[in-house]
Amino acid sequence: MLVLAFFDTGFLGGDERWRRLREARPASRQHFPLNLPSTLGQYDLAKPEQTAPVVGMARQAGIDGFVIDCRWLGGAYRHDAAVLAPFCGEAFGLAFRWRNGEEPVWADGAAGLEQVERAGALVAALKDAPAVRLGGRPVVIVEDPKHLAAPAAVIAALRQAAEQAGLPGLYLIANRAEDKGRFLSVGFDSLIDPSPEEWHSCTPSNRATGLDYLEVMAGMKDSADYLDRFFPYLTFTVSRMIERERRGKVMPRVFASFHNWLRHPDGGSTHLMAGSRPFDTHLFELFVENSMLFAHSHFPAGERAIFLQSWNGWLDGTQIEPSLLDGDLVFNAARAAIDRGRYMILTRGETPGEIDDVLKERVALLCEAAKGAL
Amino acid sequence: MLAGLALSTATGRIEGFDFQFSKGRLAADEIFDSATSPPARYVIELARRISAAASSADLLVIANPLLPLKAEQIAGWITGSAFGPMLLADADGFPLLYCLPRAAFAEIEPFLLMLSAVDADLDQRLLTGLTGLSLPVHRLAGLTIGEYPISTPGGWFQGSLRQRVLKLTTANAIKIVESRSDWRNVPVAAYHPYHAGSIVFFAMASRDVTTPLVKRHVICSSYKDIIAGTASTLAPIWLKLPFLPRDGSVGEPHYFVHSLDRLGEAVLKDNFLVFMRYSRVSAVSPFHMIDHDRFSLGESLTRTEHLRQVQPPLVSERCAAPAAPLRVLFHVTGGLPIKNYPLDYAKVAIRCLRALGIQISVIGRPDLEPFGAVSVEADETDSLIAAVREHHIFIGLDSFPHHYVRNVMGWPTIGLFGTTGSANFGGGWSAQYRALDANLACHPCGAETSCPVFGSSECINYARPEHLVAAILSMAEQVYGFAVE
Repeated sequence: MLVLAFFDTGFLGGDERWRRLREARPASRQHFPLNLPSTLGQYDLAKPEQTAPVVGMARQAGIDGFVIDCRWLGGAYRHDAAVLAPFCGEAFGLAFRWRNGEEPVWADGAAGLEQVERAGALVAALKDAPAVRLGGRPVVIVEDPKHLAAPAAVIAALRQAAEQAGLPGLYLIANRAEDKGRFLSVGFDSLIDPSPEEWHSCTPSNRATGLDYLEVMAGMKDSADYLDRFFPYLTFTVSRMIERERRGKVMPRVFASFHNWLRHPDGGSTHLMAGSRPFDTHLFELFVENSMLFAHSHFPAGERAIFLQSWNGWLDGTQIEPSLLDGDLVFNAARAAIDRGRYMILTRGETPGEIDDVLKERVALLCEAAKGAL
Repeated sequence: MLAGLALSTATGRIEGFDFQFSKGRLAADEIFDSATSPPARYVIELARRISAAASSADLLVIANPLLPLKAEQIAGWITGSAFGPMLLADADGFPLLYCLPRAAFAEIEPFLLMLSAVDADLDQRLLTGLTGLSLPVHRLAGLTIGEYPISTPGGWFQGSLRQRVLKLTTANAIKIVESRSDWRNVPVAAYHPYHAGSIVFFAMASRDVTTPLVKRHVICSSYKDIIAGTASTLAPIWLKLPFLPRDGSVGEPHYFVHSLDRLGEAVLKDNFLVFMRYSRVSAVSPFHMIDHDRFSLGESLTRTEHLRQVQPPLVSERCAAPAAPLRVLFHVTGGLPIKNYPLDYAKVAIRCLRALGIQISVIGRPDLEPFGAVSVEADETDSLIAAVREHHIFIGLDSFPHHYVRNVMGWPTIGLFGTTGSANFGGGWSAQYRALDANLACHPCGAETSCPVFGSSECINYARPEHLVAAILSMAEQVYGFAVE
């Protein structure tokens, strides 16, 4: 069972990202303030002596690797694996989130040749990184699978490029909540739950009306009431787990908190709330451990993973790293939940054999019929 | 947080030790988290662990397990004062730490279970009697713990009424030590009188302890059949009271006082009593209740391979009848509405199983007969055993029948879990056992009335009927070679 955490490599070679965080001010009293790091400080990933404790602390929490961004910039694919590589090894590695949505070429159905070249360039950029593996292959999350005009061809090109580069293949994950016959059948190995911003998994607690709009315009109400969406954390996370096996082979994405108002200065941000607080460590722990158990029960051995959003997503409040406002509460909760999840998996052992698909289908139909007859 | 110090009076060396309640890793700095252990059990464990790690120390300082203390903090209190056996308390007499000779901890180990951990004067008197040492109680004038909360973030629930229970057991122990020269021969009796499922776990744990601190078990006399069936190694002290009602109308502390009255002077004179109903929230710990009880009874459980939950079951049996027709016994009623398997799920599962040619019996639910089940009576342990033996697979909820059938009979069982966790109450994972739930992010909530998320009276964390039926068919194939026609 792998626990992989999204990691922002933007804290590299300068203070710009930290400055942005320091200077961020909520525009509404309903926005939780962003936090600042404590134990690890405002590190510069260009400095190995500052990067080493970051990886060390993640490993201490039971995290097996980071997911870092890979994007097309200046005529080549770029990522920052090199700054983390010295601290990776057997027990810790990297996966990639390919920001394909930023490249118009993938939406162009007539750009087949260029896409094959790009696929080769992408694999060339990833092939030497210290990779975590699922199904024995390096892991790539395709951030915007709907942006691929010809997904089957792209996947085939990526696999071929991987083979030519001497890799055992790629484990390709589409960032989608539900298969609906569009992703796994074209060659993706699995899916991953989208982030809270992309997938509002329950109805918001503020459902703005026309009257709200008028009151906002009249200066009688905070515009956040109308423009932003606020969700109760418990309902939001439980909703992501209800009958989730029916959504296909979708890997869970877990998070302790989320409030991305900094990225939406004009409104439209997403906020998760645990009562009046941005997080509840107990509920977060339950989310993590149940996700781990789900992955263990429903995915084949070697393909079991959950994705933690995030290790250092300070700009949308998802960080696990110890912070000034919360100390090590969230870090300890993540560590405890991972420990609990791993222990529970140990007590369950390997998932026993299942009935074959034909019989499973027959059972499903019989149950459906019985339900209809009630 | 659990902490202690090892002191060497000759050299003045102080070594600090910090531990935490384990979440499953059982690393070197973690201690097993048991809900049925009173605070004093952790005093014993800390002494064991620190004593083993600091063999040259002659004094051990053990911080009160009820308090979030670190070694650095207690070292600050100790430094500067003359080393010697003593107790340190807050301004009101709430114990902060116990300092005793290293050897004393081992010599009087079982009797340390009767430390209250909430009253320094009582504990001082008990320890003086047990060790023969002069033990001053120093008070830290600048610190007042105040009223200890009903529950703490660390998982304790030891409000003022429960503290009185602990004080009563300490007072009883003091009486014995001060009035009987043969007190070392007086057995320690665990007060753990109910409920039926918990009794199964406690009894099975007693069979699995190599370093027992406890010899006897105070238990409601209505559970005689369970004790007989489980072959508990603890000598029973029958409590002639009906078990604690589950509706919350009687609190555990009040029940405890009635129990003392009913047990009578003779029992109290001849037994050290230790409270081993829950002192901590069971769901905070990832471990199984049998292992909780093994720790309470004396096992240190320092490595995961020591845990019963990751070992083959003690007992394993199966139905002798031919695989077909497959017969399944279903217990759908969990004692509380929110613990019942959802009614519509049960109806669908029964109809589906019948359509597949499988015979299904339900315990005490004639209302499910129109859907194809046969209702059977199994409200006594004997009738439950008889009913189980006539079926290939038992399906149960987190309640006594499941715990007995799985742990005592070792029968092929599927456990259905809704509001509670299979990690605490399940039956391990083997070809003969499966725990099913829906892995919802609210699980386990421990709700006893309605769903805290959706407000419904039924729990939606139960596995859907198609999963249950698939698990039955899979287990039937693996254990009995059964195949659907």
